[in-house]
Amino acid sequence: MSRGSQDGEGLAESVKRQSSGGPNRQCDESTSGRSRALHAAGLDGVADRVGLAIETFGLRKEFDGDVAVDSVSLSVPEGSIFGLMGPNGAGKSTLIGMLLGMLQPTAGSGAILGRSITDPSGAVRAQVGYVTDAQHLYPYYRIAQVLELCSRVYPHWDAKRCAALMKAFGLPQQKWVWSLSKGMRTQLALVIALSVKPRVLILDEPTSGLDPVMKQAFKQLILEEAATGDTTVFFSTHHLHDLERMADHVAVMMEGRVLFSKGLDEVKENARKIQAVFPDGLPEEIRTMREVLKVEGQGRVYAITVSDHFHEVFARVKAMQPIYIESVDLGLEELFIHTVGKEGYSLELFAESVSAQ
Amino acid sequence: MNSLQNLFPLNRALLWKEWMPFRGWYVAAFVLWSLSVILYPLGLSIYHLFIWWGDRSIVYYWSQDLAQMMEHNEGSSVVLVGMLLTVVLGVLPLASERSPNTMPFLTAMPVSRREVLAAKYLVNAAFLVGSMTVMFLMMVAYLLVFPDVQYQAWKILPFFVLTTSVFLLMYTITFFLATVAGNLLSAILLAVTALYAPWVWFYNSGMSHDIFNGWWTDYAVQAVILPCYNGFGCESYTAVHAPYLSSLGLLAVTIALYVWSVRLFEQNQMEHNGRLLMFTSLTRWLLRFAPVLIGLAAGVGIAGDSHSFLLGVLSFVGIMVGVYAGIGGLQRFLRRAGIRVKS
Repeated sequence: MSRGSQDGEGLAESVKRQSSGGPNRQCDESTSGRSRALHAAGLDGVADRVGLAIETFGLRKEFDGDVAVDSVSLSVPEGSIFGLMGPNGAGKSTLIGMLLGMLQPTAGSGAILGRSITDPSGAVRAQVGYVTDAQHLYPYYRIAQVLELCSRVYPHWDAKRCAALMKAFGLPQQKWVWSLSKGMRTQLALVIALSVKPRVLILDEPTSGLDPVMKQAFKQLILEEAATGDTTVFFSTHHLHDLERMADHVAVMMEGRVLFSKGLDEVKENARKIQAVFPDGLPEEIRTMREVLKVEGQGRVYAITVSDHFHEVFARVKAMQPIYIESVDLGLEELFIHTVGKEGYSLELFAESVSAQ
Repeated sequence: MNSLQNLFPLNRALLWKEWMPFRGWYVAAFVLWSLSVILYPLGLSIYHLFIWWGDRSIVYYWSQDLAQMMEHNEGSSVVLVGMLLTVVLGVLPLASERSPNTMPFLTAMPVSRREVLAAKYLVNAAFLVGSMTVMFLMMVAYLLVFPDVQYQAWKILPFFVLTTSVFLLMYTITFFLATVAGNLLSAILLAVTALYAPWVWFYNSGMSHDIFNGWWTDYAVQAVILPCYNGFGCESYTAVHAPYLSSLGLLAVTIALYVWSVRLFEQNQMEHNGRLLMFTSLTRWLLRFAPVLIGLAAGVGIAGDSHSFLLGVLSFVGIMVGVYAGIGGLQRFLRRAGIRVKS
């Protein structure tokens, strides 16, 4: 199959046709994740009862006394698509490293599918697929040898699925790993991650090295995997647009801490913007509200960004008798920027520090 | 049996990983290593048998060389190539994962760290022991095929047992150092220093004649300088007079070092990847230890005892430790100052 002749959805379709790997069903992005599928079926709340795929309690990691991850407690429901966002150096990759047993926690604990992440046997990772943007595979192996190794190591290896994915991506088996581009290495990593019959897929900024077509195909494959209901997807990304379209749970990390972790619907319900006009300017009380992330004024119109308890805040603002008040949807990107901005990570501060130098 | 399985948990997939992609390399290494024992005698014998119409006198020459090898290790690929090969075999399994940063891929697999390390260690140890066994059997076979060989049968076994034990320990020392080293270069540097620097310092420089004025110090130093067990310019007393006992001692140290490697690897296999030492606490320890040693050496020198054994040992160890500590300290300083050090 020629690599350039197919678009992303075509590739995903091709994999589906060729693979006999279980009850995959058509999945479009508007019904991403198991929770949304359950929602569509009128089974809200089921995801919350089916257990947790990933759990961490006070997970902490220090490198030479520098805290990279600080007391992170997360709960990732089984079957969900959990998006982790945060600026560079927030500790996302370190957290993922600990989940996968690459790094040992300085303190705290965690479990994947009920098994401790520090379990020395490594059995916890038998059905965990992992893809990262900087995928370092054995450069002196041929692709076929890498796959052979994985088929021997992973107990649930799905050779048919692997063959279908390899064909769909057009990766030549006899090619040396060192000769692959960054994008091709990511594709190979995805082939491996999906062929282990994953119950948990951990993706660390996986699409950053992919071209737009492959990026689309990648997302499609991930969504299809999640739509089976058997796979939990935990991914970190800077692409908040992807996160908004794919995830049903989100968490924001900053300086090693989790600022919040919620269901996307809850975020959208509770994090919104209020636009209001007051007869005598903005009441000072609004700025001091805990839930208010940011207040911007343009003329007499004030835009109040609310991170939580929107309805409560809206009622309180309305009680201050504004001349005009309305609520506006808040994009995830805007929420992210304002959330991390409140923690001192903002474009304004960056510009100030550059100009000061 | 259980404790042996616990110490060397076998994972067939990982054994395959360590062996299959490199099998050609292992064959080439074996051919080079066994040159003196297999290719050279067989090649010469075949050449003379067919070209010189059955002239068997050549057996005298190559079997003399093999006798020399067992007596003094002179001009033999078994010892020369073996000594280099132990460094390569010890360093590569771990350093070849750290330098291209493939350790995360490996450790994200459903395998234990102990299995990872055991597979790496065992494949190369098996290659070492297997190759030496093949060479041993070849030398026994020559005795049966060629009646006029010039070496004595009873010398073959102690030579191979002792040499194999020495190589196994040298390989394990290198493997251990590769466990604590953060990259390929530092692993090679540490291994070469540990294995050969004492030998170069005490024997090649001729210092041994100046500083060893007592027979016991000579024996003691030669007992810890491994090339002396191979008769490499020096001779270990215990190796000559009690080869089997020496082998047992070497084997005990080998197992102890392997166990230590496993413990260290289980604690930290990739967190400081790229640094000189994986364990930053070791760097701190070296930073404290080096000035003390150098200071002591300077003190002994100033006191006028310029040719003492103590001065030699202190200054040598102090300088080597100081160099490593200096590099490690510089890396720490650069990282703290926010300057990224390339892995």
